[in-house]
Amino acid sequence: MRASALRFRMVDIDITQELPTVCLSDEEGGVGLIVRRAGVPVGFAMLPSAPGAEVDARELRDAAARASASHIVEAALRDELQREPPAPTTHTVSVAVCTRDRPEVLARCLASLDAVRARSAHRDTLREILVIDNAPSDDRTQKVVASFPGVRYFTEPCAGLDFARNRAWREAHGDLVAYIDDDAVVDDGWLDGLAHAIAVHPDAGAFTGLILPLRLDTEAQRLFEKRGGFRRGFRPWRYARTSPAHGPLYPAGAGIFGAGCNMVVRRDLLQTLGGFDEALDTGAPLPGGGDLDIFYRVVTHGAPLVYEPRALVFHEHRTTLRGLRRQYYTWGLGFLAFVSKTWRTEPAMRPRLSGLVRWWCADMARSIAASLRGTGHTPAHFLLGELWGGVVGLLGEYPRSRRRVAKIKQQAGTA
Amino acid sequence: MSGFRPWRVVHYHLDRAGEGLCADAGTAGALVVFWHRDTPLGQALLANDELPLTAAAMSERAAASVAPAVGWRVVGQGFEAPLPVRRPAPAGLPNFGALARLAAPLQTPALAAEHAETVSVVICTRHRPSALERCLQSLQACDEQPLEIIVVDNGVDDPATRAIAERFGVRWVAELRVGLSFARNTGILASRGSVVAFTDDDVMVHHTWITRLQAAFGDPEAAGVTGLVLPASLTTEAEWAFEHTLGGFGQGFRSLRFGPEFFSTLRPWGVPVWRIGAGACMAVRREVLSRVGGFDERLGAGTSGCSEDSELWYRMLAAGLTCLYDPAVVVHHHHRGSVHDLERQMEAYARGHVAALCVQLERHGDWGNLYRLLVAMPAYYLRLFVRDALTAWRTRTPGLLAQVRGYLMGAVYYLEHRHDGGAPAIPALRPEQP
Repeated sequence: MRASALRFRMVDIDITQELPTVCLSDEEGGVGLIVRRAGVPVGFAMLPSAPGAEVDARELRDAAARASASHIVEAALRDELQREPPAPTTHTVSVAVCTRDRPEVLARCLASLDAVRARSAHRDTLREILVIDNAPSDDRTQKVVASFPGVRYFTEPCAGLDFARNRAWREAHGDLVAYIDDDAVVDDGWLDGLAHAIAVHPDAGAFTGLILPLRLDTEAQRLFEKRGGFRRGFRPWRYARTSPAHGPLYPAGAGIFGAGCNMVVRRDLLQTLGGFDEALDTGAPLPGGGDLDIFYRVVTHGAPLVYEPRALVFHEHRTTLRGLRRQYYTWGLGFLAFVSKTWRTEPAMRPRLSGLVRWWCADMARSIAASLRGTGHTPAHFLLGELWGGVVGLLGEYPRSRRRVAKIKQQAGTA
Repeated sequence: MSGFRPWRVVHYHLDRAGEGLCADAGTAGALVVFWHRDTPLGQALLANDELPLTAAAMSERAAASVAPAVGWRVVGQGFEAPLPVRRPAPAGLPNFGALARLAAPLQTPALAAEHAETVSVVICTRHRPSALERCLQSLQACDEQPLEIIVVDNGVDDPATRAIAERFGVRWVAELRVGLSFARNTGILASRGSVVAFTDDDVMVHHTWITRLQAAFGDPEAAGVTGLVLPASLTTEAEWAFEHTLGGFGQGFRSLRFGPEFFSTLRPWGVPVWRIGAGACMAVRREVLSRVGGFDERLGAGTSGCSEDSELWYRMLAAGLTCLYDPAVVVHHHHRGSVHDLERQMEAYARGHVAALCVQLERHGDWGNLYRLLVAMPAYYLRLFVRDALTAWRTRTPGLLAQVRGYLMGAVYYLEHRHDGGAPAIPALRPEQP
């Protein structure tokens, strides 16, 4: 078996406690290391190793120091400076899980939410859990939800993730709606981290959190994570309508804000903004972009968006290389569908959007060149897939999607 | 000018009770400098849209801004600021034990300051009595007074300068030859301290300036010390352009050591000695000045335009000495008030820089200076020109034309003055007087 085919062991360490020695089995080719300081995530690293090897505490220490030194200092400074914790928030959160025909992964997600509800000091903040079953083909999902007492179940007949997301906030009662993907698992500290961020930034319109890999079993999952995965760093950050710290294209590059598999939006703001754009995230033809679009609209509306790494979820990435290639295509497509939509709706933003597209093309060209030279870590054909997705996104996929969505709505109306 | 809104400069003290930061609709935002126990540790530029921030949100932003400087002070290895060289040495591996033990990193006790050196402060001024007054007031407010303050008057036709010096009870020395280097050398000759510190009349020193300088010279290797120059205000477009678009004098919040390694690695390409620091905040050991000489009198404001300070660094480094940039040594600088002043300053900078490169080539025979002169600088101007052209002139680098003009003038200036060099340019210093 090739070394690259072996799975990595996920190891979660806390630097304030004694570090373990990790004995890898013959089927394990390395360690996916999550570093925390007193529970707060401060770093992540992938450490390839020989199968069956022993990764001792010293190696883990060095890797942790290399991966997370500055974030450890930042976390210590935040503790020192926030001498008195901010007044706890009185806002409540509805958690919405949108799903479609994946009862096993949904059950795992709901179990993790149950555990958080049972253990968190902020359990009062968590008002309810909703499952939106999106155009289901059978009743398996409903049965799974029935086994979790107190979880509210809804069926959304219109197929499309953003139909489901819109249904969720319309049904929810909490002040904020937290969207968690069904293939994700929330960390024990997720709710505490979110409650803290809400207390520190009571005026924020949306929150996003850190997303780490649930497992690194396959080459596809490791490749995904090597290119940055869904990670947006280990530093809490508050994004406003303008920000001199983020260059001239801000806030058009909405990818920096987070990802839809772990996002929270104020419910009244969703109402004001008209919710998610149903023409994005429609499944097969245009499966992305809805998260970027809502982040962008929240921020340009003037409500800050806060990224809080303590609100951590683990996401199970695609396991096959084929699925990963599809993912790259989807990114390119979703990203440029968002760009072409915003181009139409906001003429004032056009110079920045065209700058963004230029930057993206140059970045893709650099990545592909690096890959062909052998210095990159993503195979060139994945990147070409992403580039192709971008071209499709730019060439009218969004208007086509709008026409399709209008038809879906019409059918649902007549049904 | 069109649509420019001023920025606030906010000094945020982390050792005081946490406060939020309000928005101010009249401004574009705030440059926030984070301090702890009178030491600046970081800064953040916050647009007005990002405000207001609660006290807790400010401490999150502060933690992100000050972490490199605090890491460097408390953990050390792994947090060194990279030297401005082509391939800076990779930062070392931080000590895990120190990181794991970290609690209340700001509370780490400061080192006791050394007081071995006596400091003479030299302020050269010309026709700016009100600025000088502000500068002297700031020196008067220092925690510790220097051995002496010497005002060198480079424009004696105006009696106001002398009157102010007398009012503050500081020494007044006339220098009739117009030029900053003439004035600084006169100041050096008049001084008696073991360290000669220079500041400009458009500067206000921080009240710890003298003590921190003395502490920095507690390092026996430090032949010269430079410090952090913060903008006093950012209310005009020119001030903003100087600080933000052109990078200002900012050198960061971690110490830098410019020694033989810095000099030898960059010698073939021209050593960027101006990165060591600015004449608005610098000090040199007196014995070093006796050894390498004073300021080259062809260079500096009033003659070539500027770079008399960096040319002195060059000579010190070439002699194997080390210069230390210490961000705990702080002054506040009033940048130029108008765009016209700024352009004149940019022209003077380019002119002086070219002249200094020629002088360095002449004195040390280092061809790297010629490379910078004939390749790096023209390429830099061309790049800026192309970048502006690509935006169809929607964005323009402030003072680019003035810089090119200054570049050409600098070359002419040097050719006219190349025979003035040699011995008369560098006065031999008398040994330290009792």
